[in-house]
Amino acid sequence: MGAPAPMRRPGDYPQGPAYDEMFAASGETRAHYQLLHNRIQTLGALELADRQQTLERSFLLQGITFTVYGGGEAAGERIIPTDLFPRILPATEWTKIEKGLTQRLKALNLFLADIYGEQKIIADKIVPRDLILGAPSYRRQMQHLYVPHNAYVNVCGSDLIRGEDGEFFVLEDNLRVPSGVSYMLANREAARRTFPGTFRQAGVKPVERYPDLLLATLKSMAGDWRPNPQVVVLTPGVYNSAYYEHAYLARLMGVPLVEGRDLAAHDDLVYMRTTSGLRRVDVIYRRVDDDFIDPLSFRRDSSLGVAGVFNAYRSGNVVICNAPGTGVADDKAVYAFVPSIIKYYLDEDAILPNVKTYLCRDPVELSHVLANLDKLVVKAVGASGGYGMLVGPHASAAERAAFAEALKADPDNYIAQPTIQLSTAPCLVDGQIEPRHVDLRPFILSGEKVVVTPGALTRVALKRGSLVVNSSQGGGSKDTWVLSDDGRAPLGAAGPDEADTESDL
Amino acid sequence: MLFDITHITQYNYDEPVRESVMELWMQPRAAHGQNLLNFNLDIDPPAQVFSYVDSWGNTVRHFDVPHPHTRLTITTHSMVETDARPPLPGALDMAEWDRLANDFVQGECWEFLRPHGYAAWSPKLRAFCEATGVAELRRLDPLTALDRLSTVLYRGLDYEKGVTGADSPIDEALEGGRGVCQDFAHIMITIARDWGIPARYVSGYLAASRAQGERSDPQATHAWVEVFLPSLRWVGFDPTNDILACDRHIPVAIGRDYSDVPPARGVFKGDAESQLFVGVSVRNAAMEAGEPEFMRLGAPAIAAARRRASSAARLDQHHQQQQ
Amino acid sequence: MMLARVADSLYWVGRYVERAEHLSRLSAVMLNATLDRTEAGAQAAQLARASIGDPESGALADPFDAARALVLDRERGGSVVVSLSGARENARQVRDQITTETWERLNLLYLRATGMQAERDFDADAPEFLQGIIADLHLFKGAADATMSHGEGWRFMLIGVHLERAQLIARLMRVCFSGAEGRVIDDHLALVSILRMACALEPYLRVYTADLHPRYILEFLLFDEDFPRSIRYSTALIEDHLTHISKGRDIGRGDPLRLAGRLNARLTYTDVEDVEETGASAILNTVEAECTAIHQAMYETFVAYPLETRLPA
Repeated sequence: MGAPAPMRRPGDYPQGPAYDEMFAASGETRAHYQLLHNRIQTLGALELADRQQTLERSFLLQGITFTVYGGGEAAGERIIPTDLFPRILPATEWTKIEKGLTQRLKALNLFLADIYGEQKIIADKIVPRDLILGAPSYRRQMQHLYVPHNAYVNVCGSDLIRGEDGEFFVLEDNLRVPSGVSYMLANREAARRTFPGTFRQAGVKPVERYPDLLLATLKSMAGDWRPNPQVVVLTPGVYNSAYYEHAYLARLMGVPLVEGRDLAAHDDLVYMRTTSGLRRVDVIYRRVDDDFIDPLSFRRDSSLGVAGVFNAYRSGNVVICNAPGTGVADDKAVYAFVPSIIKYYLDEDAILPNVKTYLCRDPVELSHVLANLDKLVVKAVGASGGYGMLVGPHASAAERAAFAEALKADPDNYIAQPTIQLSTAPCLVDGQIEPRHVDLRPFILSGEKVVVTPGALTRVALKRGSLVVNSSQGGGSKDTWVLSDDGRAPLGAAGPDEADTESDL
Repeated sequence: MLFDITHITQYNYDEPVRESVMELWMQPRAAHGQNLLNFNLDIDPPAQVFSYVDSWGNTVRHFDVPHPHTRLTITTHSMVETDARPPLPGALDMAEWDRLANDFVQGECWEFLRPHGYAAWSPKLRAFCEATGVAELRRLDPLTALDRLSTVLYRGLDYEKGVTGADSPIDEALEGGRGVCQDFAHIMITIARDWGIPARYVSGYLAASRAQGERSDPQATHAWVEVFLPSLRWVGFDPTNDILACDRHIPVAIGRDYSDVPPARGVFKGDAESQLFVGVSVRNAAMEAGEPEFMRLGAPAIAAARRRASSAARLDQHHQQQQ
Repeated sequence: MMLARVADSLYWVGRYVERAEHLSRLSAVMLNATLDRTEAGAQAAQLARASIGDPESGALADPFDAARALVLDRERGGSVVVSLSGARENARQVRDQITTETWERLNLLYLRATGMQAERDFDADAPEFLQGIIADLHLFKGAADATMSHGEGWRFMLIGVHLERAQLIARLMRVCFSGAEGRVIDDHLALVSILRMACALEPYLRVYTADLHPRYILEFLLFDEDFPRSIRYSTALIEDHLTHISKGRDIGRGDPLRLAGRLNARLTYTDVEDVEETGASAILNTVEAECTAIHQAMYETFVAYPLETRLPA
């Protein structure tokens, strides 16, 4: 029989002050988690451990890894740990997220078209000129360049967090080369078999269509005169930390995975070198940073790109997805202006709010930040992956003092936000079920139209109390179940007999 | 005045290179008190040429040569008619500084008000300014200040071709006390911007007159500065020769600094050292035909460091750059 | 549709893997032959080294050291460790093209053979170590065969295997039997060693019984239709794979398919009597030279063709 099932008795789950995804403050299970909770109750600790192991093995076989930087044993190639309990979102909450993200991406694409075009938003003084034109990610080359459907951002991964009152905030947009979607897909593949009965009963929206939707989005960016556009995935190569995701997506879409050296631009057209000669390329889904795409138009020392590809893009003979220069819109300082940006282009209030953000470039806000370092999270505008960050409440006085110096020396480069207790979700940790902080990264596609994938990557801060969820710093993930409207399985999802034969990824 | 300009750029490689891709900023601007009457671009080996207009309004030509070659020759013939520049007042009033500070100028010319690329401050430049009392000039009206600045630079640095490259930082010129026209332009631009005067880099040609004591090389491209003064619009200064831009200056391209508008820049595949030859001839078209054309060895541009091929790749794929 | 670079990498995986196996076998045979401290044993060791172009250093070099260097030396171009590194690096570059099983086999083998432990394992029990490598390489080939789609990529890999094999066997036989340097091998042990180097002892015995004779060995290793390590077998497969790859293309003079076809025809329609007359060196040189030509032609046709020659009309 083994150890008794966890969470049998109230108080078994050490709930904290943060909003918990599964349990209300009273300890009652939330309606959309009921099915899962009931199931867990019937499983002993050994059974749970067993399912966790099966999950990990399935993951290993799919071979998706991320590179962890930094020293120690943890550094190197790892499979991101996946927790066996899915994170569940009810339909009504998801609808709001979907609407909010669609609105947000529409506004950001309009913003990009404007700052690379007439720059009306700057003339109207909604955003400061120097913030935009002075951003290192602003690419002059993109000015007045035609982008099909004005879809500068084709793949967007926005990070959402849920605050103590249960409302979602957008923490950050990722508009350049957002990654993690392979984890969303792999998690679903593995986790479906972990709680197969519950999964079927719950009526979860499928995410397996993502590669098809991505391919359709990319193809929609090609000109109408190319009847069957050739799409490729451009990767920096095997030594890149997200290589396996590039390969995974290329495989699922059925398109070639290429490196810069496989492509050549001639007479403003782009080709790939195949064994049977040169083949035209129409759409490049590039997972290479802007700077390295083209040694002629960008960084001259790059060997990852294709000389002349940007001019071909300028001429409309190839499409680069996401467009270069989108980094301006996911700049941490520009983030603070996004609600104004939504208002300016769509004349609407943001459906999903921002987290309150102090811009240290403003002297008044800087002094507030310096006076309240122990309560704030301070981030460097240029950094990512959870690096270059100070979590005030968790830092020592010495760390805060050092950061204060950095702030004073280069205030333009920092923003600060109040610490938010991210919501928690139950995770299996050393045989116990404990709450851990989570965030949510849905993926939005934008080509001819905007599509929000009904699912997301839920990232987990594995260390108790930690708020850092990034994979590169040892975070984990969960499968994310978005339930369909009426709670019953939507058309096409697995019925009781079909579960084992559903789409192989 | 009517000018007939021939500009020959030739790259010689010690090993064949292939898949050469280049962009050119060689077509004279059709604005600015200047008419472009004719422009011809010839590439050898032959290549199809494309063009676009960059964000500064310059016409950029580009092409690629896929097959192996050991020499690439780019020849342009331009026929340009320049108007006489309107005469400038002796000075402006001090209120011009206020006019410069207004939002409109600061906004419209934002990019020409910031250090960029080669036009950037360094301890050596600060030392030079200290030593030559540049800061004092700020007390004058902008036009006079700039005029004096041009003279300060003209006297403070010798002109010597070949000692600095087109892409050397200005510190090299300051170190040796001599430079080429790019250095003069970059230094003046950096200081003018610091004063709050929008300044842009102009790449082009000068039908230099030795008779008038101009010292810049008549058989090379030339670089000078344009500044924006609200009362006068864009005004050209040529600190290399300490003159105002006149109808013998033929602008080709404008940008923030040299790196925005190099006459030619490209990459190629192959493991080769390149040598660059540049020959420019600017003739007053009213003069007799029959003046000898000739090629002169410009500063050879040694190729950037070779790149090692990745160990697994059997294809010889190296990228190199040329000037 | 296959990227040129990917085809090239898969081809090299094939070549390196075959090379690693052959060198392992050579080393094992060398060690075994010198256990028997006879003239013939030493001769067998020398033949092995000569066949891979090792400079003749006479009987002075310790055969154990020589066998060891053949396996573990990281400096020399032709060692097992270097070959395995080459295979693994190429496989890594095209990781998404080979199945996980295939990759893992190769990766594990690489780690085992190149790790710190490898040298100790070799010194402790070299034959067992080498057996292990050869067995793992078989597992790799099996995994590739069973799990990879038999499409263009798989064919490029197999062409690599067979070109390498044909060249290595041809070189081995040229060194042993072409009569160069007045070499006549008639010692039983030496001949057994040579057959072992080609992994051919038992199949040979089944066909020719215990009658070991250079003439028969040549015949077997050159022309046997059924033995998978005969040169003829390899050239037939090379032609077959190239035929599949070349479907729909115009075949010109320097084309690899044409060269492969010609070589295969040579092997098919020559027989051992012709060889007797003219001497083995002629045909063996042809095999080596033509394999090199095919290798070069493949590179120029499928991989490194000049851009301007393949622009679509």
